[in-house]
Amino acid sequence: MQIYLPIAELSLNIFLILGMGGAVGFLSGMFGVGGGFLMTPLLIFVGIPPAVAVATEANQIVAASVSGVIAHWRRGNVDFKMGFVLLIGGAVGSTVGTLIFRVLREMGQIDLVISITFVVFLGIIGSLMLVESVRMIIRSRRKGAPRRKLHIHYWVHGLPFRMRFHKSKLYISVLPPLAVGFLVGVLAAIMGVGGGFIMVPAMIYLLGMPTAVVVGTSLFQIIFVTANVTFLHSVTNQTVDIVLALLLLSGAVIGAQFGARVGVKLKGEQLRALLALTVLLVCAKLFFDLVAVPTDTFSIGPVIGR
Amino acid sequence: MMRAVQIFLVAALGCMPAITPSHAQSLAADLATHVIDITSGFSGTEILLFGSAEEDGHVLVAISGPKEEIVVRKKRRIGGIWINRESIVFRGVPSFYAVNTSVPLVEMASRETLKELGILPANLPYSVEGEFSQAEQHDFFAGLIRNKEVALLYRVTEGTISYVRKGLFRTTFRFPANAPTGTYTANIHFFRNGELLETQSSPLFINKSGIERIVFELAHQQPAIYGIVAILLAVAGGWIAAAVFRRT
Repeated sequence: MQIYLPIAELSLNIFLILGMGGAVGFLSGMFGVGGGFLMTPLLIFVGIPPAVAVATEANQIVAASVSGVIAHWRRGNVDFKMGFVLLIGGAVGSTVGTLIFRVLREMGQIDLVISITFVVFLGIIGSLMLVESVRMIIRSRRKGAPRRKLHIHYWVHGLPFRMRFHKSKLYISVLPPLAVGFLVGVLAAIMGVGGGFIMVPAMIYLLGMPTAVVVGTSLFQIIFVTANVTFLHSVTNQTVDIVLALLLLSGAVIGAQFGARVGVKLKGEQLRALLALTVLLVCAKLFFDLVAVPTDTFSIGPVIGR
Repeated sequence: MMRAVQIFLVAALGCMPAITPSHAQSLAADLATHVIDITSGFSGTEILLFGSAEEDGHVLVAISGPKEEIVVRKKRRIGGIWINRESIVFRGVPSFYAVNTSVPLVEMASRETLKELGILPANLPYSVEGEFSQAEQHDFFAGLIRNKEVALLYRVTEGTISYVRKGLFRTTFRFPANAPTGTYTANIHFFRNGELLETQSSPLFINKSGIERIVFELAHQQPAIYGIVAILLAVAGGWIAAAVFRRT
């Protein structure tokens, strides 16, 4: 059954869209990742214009994050004060990111930049995940794993404008969280991702936040950042496809529930290695499309910016 | 029959300053429908065109979509990666262009005649923004045509007008799901001995309708409201999902 997408202006099989939402939702439920970094490339692969894929995926992540943050909020695992500082950076970053997106689109370079940023980030994340999971698999076969240091103090924490974050048990400068929020905001606007894959490691290793509050706080600020991205893309580019977003999120929320249940039962490391390989595969495909000789060196597009 | 037409033409000449094609009688044709509605189930459609024409000639039908401004970009390999470099903006190019004929084009008319008449994609009139050589314009426009053909928006199919019986012809045009909305024109040309004798026009409208129209118009006319609606829908969707699955 085909469904016409009013903003993408093409028709796709409705079960393909629901299936993609379900599959990515399943992975995100199982591993607790956002899924945007897989969904945006998938949408591009099935023929959705990259600009529409990015803006629409940002809209869908609003839903995924709301649904995810509720559970963390109930358990008290959201540091609202830290979340607020992060999202100030995120609001500025996503606004700047949308402006960059617009300029690149007028120049005809947005597809290229989206692909390159995905190749870079998927390559890094996929490799790190793969190495980490292989190391864990090897370690789980040995006994007596070494203990990791609990808290490391970096020079960035000593920068001016210190603030106390009770929930995270931190007294650090607000500049690093603002910077992290800004960077993730820019990426959210250009890639249509929540940025959890950068936010979470940055919170743990750079800011030194306790692991328990990291995911909830990250999700909390992602809601506002992706909402801002959705709004700004709607206003400046008219590329948010509500119909596509609704279909994706219906598939994703159901997939996420199943994923979460399966994730509890199965042993994680092999699956994590599998996710890492999936990420690297998507990265390889995008990279191949960048370097392969195109079927036609000429391409056409609408005139933007008048 | 032919004599009757000639007599008519002579009579018409006597009382009118010029003969307009609609007063000739060698051709009469029309589309079976003049409106295509794009709804949520739209996956492209076919439209029938039928008519009658004198037997001693050939029929060519060209349907062209609303004119658009379009940018054609050329990729070059830089550091191993294919990157868009030069670009030309073309104006007044039909967004959709399809030609059906009753006989192969070589039997229809000479290349020069078709070029003069602006029939076939390569002969379409256009204007460009900025200074470019003829060769460059030609190269980029050829690229435009290839891309449009891949998207099924430009197509030339020879011999696809069939005669149901003597003098009565029919043909179908395929409109893909990505056919642009707007006003289309079907030009029905009648050729004899390689010369255009007559042309008739018939309009066609492609509109979005129903929910598709509401979404599209809101997105383009009230983008701020659209953005807020998109966010609220997502928040509601996420919240409902969390509430539903908490119970089960």
